[in-house]
Order: sequence, then structure tokens, then C-alpha cells
Amino acid sequence: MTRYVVNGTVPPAGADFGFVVPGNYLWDVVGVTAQLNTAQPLVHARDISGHVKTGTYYFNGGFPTAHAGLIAGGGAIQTGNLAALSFTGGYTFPDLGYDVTGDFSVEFTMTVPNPNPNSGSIITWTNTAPSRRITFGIRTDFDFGFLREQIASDEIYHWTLAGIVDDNLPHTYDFVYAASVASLYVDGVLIPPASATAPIVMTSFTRVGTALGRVVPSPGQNCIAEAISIFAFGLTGGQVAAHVAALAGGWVTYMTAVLADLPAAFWPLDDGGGGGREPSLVVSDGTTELVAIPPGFPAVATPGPYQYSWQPDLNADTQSSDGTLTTVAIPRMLLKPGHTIGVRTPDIQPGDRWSKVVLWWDDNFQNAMSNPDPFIYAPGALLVITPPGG
Amino acid sequence: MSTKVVTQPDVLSGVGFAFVVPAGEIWSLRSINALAKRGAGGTPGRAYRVDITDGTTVVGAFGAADAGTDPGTCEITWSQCPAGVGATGANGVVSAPMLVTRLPTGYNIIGVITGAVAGDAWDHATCWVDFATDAAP
Repeated sequence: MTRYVVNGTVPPAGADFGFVVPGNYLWDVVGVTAQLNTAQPLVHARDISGHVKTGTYYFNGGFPTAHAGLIAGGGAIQTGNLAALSFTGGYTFPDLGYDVTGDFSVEFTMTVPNPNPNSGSIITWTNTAPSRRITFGIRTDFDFGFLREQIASDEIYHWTLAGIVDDNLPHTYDFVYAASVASLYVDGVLIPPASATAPIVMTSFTRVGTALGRVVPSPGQNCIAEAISIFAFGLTGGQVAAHVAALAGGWVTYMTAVLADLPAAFWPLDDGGGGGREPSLVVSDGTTELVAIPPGFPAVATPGPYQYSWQPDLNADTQSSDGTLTTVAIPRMLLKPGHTIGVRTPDIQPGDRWSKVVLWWDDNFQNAMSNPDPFIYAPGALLVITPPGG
Repeated sequence: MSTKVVTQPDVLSGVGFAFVVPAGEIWSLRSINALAKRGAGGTPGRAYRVDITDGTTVVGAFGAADAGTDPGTCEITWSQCPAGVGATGANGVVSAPMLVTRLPTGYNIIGVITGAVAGDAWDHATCWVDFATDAAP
């Protein structure tokens, strides 16, 4: 028996790998090993109904810091990558740095989880002239929310909210600034401001509710944010109500309703949960898929690299405790010229890269066959391993 | 013995497919690979099954789990391997163990979607087999 090793051509980033059995060879597959280096964890976005969906939004760096201002005409969707997001302690959103002039609206959709100890700013929005900053924050552990605006004349608005329960259900918060009036809608209901015009002291927040009057700093925010939309105009109450009503139809319905009103920027956000890639080992005859073996283990949330080993051993299905090494049992396969063997990773990301790709195969099949296939390489002759597909 | 891929089931209709070992051949199954289209609401009761019959009597039955959210698809591979389940959103990939057996002429390989709902149907099915001619005296 002679065992051969084929070092696979490393595919480009974001691509899966495969081998093609070359002419005059018959591959008795002993195993396939490869390492997947991931750019960053894939975070599954979750729609309003709770179904996990894969998204193209993942966190690979800082949010653009250039203040480009509102996009003329609205409707352009920015695929923003929000930096500094922690999947363990919650989410800290940086200043999105979005300049606005005139009327505008900000809409958040969030799920309020079980109590969290932190509070803070979700978005700080600065207008260059005159100086205007809107700081929007939501506390998720004391059933309240508030919005505060600082403008050149130091006006401040307070909203007192009650009854926002930590219920793991999505809620919408719409801040609308139109005709020099600031309004807050929570779940489509207009909340009148509790007070107006008082000097601004800090950009921290005033907690209302069970700890009325207590001021806390704003380091970060723990919540499960679904989306942030910024409109270059003041939303009407009817538009807000339509958005809220669309939540019942699931994520696609909600997004469709929001996009119909042409937001200047729209970020559907990935929430915590994490997930890794799930490569299936796939064999085909060059045309028809014959075998597709999933990894059989849950995807790993932490960054890789992930080592995979596919073996025709029924006891091979194992995964290391840290999830970085997965062995997968595959059927014993004898592959003919033109057959392909490789992996298919539906959720592979552009920055991911397979490396250390190795295929082992034996030529001991001849002894098991009474009528040797004419493609079997005659023993004793010089064997040259050609590149896959060559 | 040679190997071949059979891409055209003898029966492919709705939630069922069937391959029949043709006259003069003996099949040894390497794999059965099939793609199920899945309507909404089948989860979690939906599953898949392959029955081997001699044309009348079931001599072997091999189950497979469903995977992925629905509506969607699920690709199932029955082969000599352990069971495995994976999914990316609405697209599931499942492997299921199946004994590699020598099937004489006339034996049936029947695939079924169990617990099916409206919109469930097989899209296609493929058998990868080693076969020999049945040189019976």
C-alpha cells in the first residue's frame, strides 16, 4: 500500500477548497484536513421573531469617522460596521458621528433583555452649526428610557417612561425632530416631554423610574439592538405607527416598512449569540453531488483558527472542548477521475481563509477488486502526483 | 464491479422518490443524496426516511433528521457514516447512517418525507452505487 499526500492549493480568502481526481488515478480517500482562519466571528442577525439569520454585517474594524453628513435624497443604505462591540458584556456603541441639519428622525428597534447594570449612550449625533447634540439612551434594567437634546440655547427635553418591561420582546424608539419640536415615540405611542428648557450640565443621563433623579455616566449600553435608522426628515406619527405595526410581521416586514420611508442610513445590527462557519464535506462526480456531510457540531462563536479533519472512521465525530478542532466521520470513498471532493461553507466570510489543506489517499484498492478498473494505476510504475485537476 | 451515479429516480413525486434496481444488476449502495424542499410549519415534526424493500417487504429503514428553518431546503446524504446535522438559516445539511447492502434486481430504494406539510417535496435524488451484472446461472 502506498499512501499519498496532496497538498491542496490554498484558495483565496473567502473561498472554499476542493480537489479534482486527475486522469489515470483512483483515489481511496483516507482523509482530508484543513484549517480555517476566520477574520472575525460571524454574528448571526436575528429577526424580530427570533429566527436566526445570517447577515453580511460583521465587525471588522472601526466605523467610518468622516462626517459625510446626510445623504442627499435619502434612501441610501449604509452597511456600517460598528466597532468596539462586546459580545459578553453587552454593546458599546461609539459616536456614529452623523451630522444633521434641519428636521431628522432616529429610529431604534431593540429587544429589552433581563436586567443589566449599565446605562449609556446609544448614539450621539452632532450638528456642526449651530452646536446641537442629541444623545439617546436606553436603560434596560429599570424599565425606562429617555432622550435628551442639547442645542445652542441649552434646551433640554426629558421624557419619563414607564412600563417598558424587560420582556425580551422588540421595542421601537423613534426620536423625531421636526419644526423645532422634539418628540419621542415608544412602540408607536407619542410620549409628551415631561419638561423643557433647562441648562445642560453634562452629557450623562438622568435615570427615571425606580431611581428617579439619579445621574449616571454613559460608558456603554447593554441591550440587543436590532436596527438603527436615520431619516433626513421628521417622521410623522403615522409613519412611526406603520413601522411599529410591521414588527409583528417579522424582520423582513419591518425592514420593508422602514426602507419604504427612505432612511438616510439604515443599519440592521447583529446581536449577540455568535456563530462560526459550518463547512460540509462534499463529493461529486463532477456534475452531480453525491455526498454532503455536515460537521455535526454546533458552530463555534469564538475566533478561530478552526482545524477540521474528515476521516472514514465511524468514531471520528468529535470536537475539542474549545471548539477549535473538529473531526468528522465520512464514508469510505473510492473516487474516479473527474470526481471532486471539497468543502462547502455557506456562511464563509470575505476575510476567512482556508490553509493547510491536505488530502490523503491510498492506492491499495487493487487488491480488493477482482476486475481492476482500467483507471487503476499499475503498481511499480513511477507515480507522479499532479496538482489537483491537473 | 463498477460504479455509477443514478440521477433519475424511477419515481419522483411529491414527498416520495424511488429507485428500482434494474434487471440484471446488483447494487451496493455508496450513498443516497437527496434535496428536500420544505414548506413553512414542518419544524420540528418533519423527518426523512429511506426504506429498502424487496418489492414488497421492507427489509431496512434508515431515518434522517431535518435541519434548518422553514421554509427552506434540506440536503440529506444517507451513507456509511454517523448522523450529522448542520444548517445555515433555511438551508439544512444532514447525514444519516445507512448500511451498505447488496441489492438484487427488483429491490426498491424508497425515500419519504415524514411529518410533511404543504410545500414539502423532493427536488431531486441521486444514488451512487457500485454495481455488477447479475450473472446468475
